[in-house]
Amino acid sequence: MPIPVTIADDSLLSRKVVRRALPVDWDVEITEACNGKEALAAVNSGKAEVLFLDLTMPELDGFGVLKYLHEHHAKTVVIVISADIQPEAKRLVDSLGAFRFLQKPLQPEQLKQALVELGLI
Amino acid sequence: MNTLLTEEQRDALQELMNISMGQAANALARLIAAKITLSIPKISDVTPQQFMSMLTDDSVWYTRQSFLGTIKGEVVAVLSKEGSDAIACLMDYDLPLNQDSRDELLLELANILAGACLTGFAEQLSLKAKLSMPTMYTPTMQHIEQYRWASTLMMEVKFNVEASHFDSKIVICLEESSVQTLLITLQQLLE
Amino acid sequence: MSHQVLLQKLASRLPLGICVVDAKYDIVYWNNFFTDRLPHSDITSENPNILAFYPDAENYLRKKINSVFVLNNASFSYWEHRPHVFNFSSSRPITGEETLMYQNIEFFPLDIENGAVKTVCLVVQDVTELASYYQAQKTLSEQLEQEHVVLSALNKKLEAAQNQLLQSEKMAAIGQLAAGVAHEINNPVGFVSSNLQSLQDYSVKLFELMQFYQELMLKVNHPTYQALEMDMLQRQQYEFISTDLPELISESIEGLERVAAIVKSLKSFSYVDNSEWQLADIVDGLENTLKIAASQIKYKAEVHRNYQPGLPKLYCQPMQLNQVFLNLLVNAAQSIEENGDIFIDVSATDSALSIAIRDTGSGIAKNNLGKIFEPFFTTKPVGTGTGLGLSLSYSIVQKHKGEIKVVSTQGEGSSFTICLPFLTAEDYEHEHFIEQPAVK
Repeated sequence: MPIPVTIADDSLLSRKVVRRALPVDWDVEITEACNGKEALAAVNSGKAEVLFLDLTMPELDGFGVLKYLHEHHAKTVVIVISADIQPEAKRLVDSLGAFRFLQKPLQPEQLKQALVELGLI
Repeated sequence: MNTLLTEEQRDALQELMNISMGQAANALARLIAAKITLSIPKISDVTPQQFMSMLTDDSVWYTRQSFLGTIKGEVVAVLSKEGSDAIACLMDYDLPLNQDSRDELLLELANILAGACLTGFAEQLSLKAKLSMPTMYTPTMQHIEQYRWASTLMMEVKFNVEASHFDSKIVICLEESSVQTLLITLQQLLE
Repeated sequence: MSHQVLLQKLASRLPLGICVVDAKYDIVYWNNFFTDRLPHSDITSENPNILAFYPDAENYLRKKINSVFVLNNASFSYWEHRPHVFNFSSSRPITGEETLMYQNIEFFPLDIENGAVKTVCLVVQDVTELASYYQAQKTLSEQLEQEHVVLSALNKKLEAAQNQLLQSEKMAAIGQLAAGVAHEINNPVGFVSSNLQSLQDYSVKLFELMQFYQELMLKVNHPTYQALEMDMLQRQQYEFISTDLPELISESIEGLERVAAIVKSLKSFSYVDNSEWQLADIVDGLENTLKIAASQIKYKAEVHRNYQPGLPKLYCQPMQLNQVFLNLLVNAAQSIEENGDIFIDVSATDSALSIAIRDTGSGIAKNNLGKIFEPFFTTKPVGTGTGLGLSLSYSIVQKHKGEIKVVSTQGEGSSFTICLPFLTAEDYEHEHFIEQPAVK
């Protein structure tokens, strides 16, 4: 059974970069979301056991998604991939229960390391 | 209107700018120990008239600095008069600012933001661009006739230091000949 | 020559200061530009520290270098803001006036390992030539600016002077006209007056004659003639005429005296050469002016005079001062609607004469107080005031090296005080032709 994974980012390029950075041998089924609302829809329809989440997005931003998941005690493993790398953003993300905070531009090794640490691969 | 770029290219540039802007904001945030609010970058191509109309606000100061390398152009920084004293305070300047210390502060701010933005942007595309020293810019002394270009690509990001009510904008303007270089590099990234 | 030797030679000959420091601010490399300018040639320290070498610039250098290490971004220092970061002496030690070198400095990251800056390079550029040229230009343009300001001020003064000249020419013309009219009136008034005097004498004589005839009639005691006389006297209203005629004549004489007085005041007020300086009695001037203004004052206000006795004469242009008094008195009268008072106080100290004219009129609004001496400022209805009266007054007082002050409360009245110093002809000798503008 492939693991359902969602990549939420308003940028097509970013989604592409994340997709490319995923280990080739990781058996996943990928859903893409362009904003926070789509990301939540994916979570609610069971398509996001793992969620790669951008912070600045239209409609509903990454913080909003995290807040919702936090309040609903969702089991989703959230890995934030953000361009906003200020300590303040990091702190906020941590407090909202994200599992990892990765900086853009995304380094594939860092992503892989995070997946290993989280026991996903 | 974007006639130079496809939607995919525009999206890519926007994301690249978003990332470099994050780095610039982080640099500034470390310097002044305050949270910087980011907004979505704006990518557009402009005519000299449109460019001029951007430079008519008298509630701001302007600086400019050119860059050279595989891509060439100029960065214009737009810094709000409001809140600049608060920023000066955060950056250990003595208040009240005289004209010299104010210019020094503005040039330093512009250089930090422009430097981080441009370096971040160029690095992601493995392009080279070295910034020269910034200078104060008084656009009212300019005339439209002196622009020797028809259209340029403009990448614009906004930084807002909410606690100090301070706003700034970094506008990267590419030379016409560099637009092509950029698009080719961008295409390689997208493929 | 190997590549390395070539670079070394180049670096030693460059007209630029190059200095590389590590994170502890220790100098990893510096070229001859730096070492040639060291205050003492013996470098004993193994690892020279840039902050220790330039203690005056320590804080600034630390801040700048640190920002490059932290931000991995070049930083600049401008001669305009920080002219002499390094205390290098001027490139023109013999001929130039500059004693310290003006510098532009670029700080940039040199070695970067895994995104961390290991060393920072400083490039110092000697811009003394540029700076002194720029500063000379700036001084020059400041001078020009200053001259421009002076010239514009002069222009304004000239304009004001011209306006005043026009005004005083107008006044002189009116004065001449008035003098002419006064002269023309004076003659008929003279002979009418002397005729009236004769008429008065004759009428007294005629009445005496009538008295004589009436007494004669009584002595004759003839009823028919007496009846005729009574009838005649009644028909001609003799009794009424005999009381009215002397009154008519004395009233006419009084009226004519008043006409003569006004003509005299008019003549002295509009004295043709109105700029003549002389010793004059200010109270006389005030009294003459009061006569001129009487028609405007007498139905509205009572004039209260308080003149210090034995006032000395003042060297002045009396006709011009009369102008000032007239303006103030007319304004005072116009500010009073009815039943007001005008107080005139004249007093003197050893050095100056003070004339105060106070009214119980409407007063001046606070926001207008600063403007009343400006030319063309008026609160009177269009066509009533020229807005020149007080401005002219102000400049006349100034010409006398005096002061005019106003205190006013809206609804209570205004008080103008003129203070004129006792000066001599010599004090005014070296006066400029151009007068001060009449703006406070």
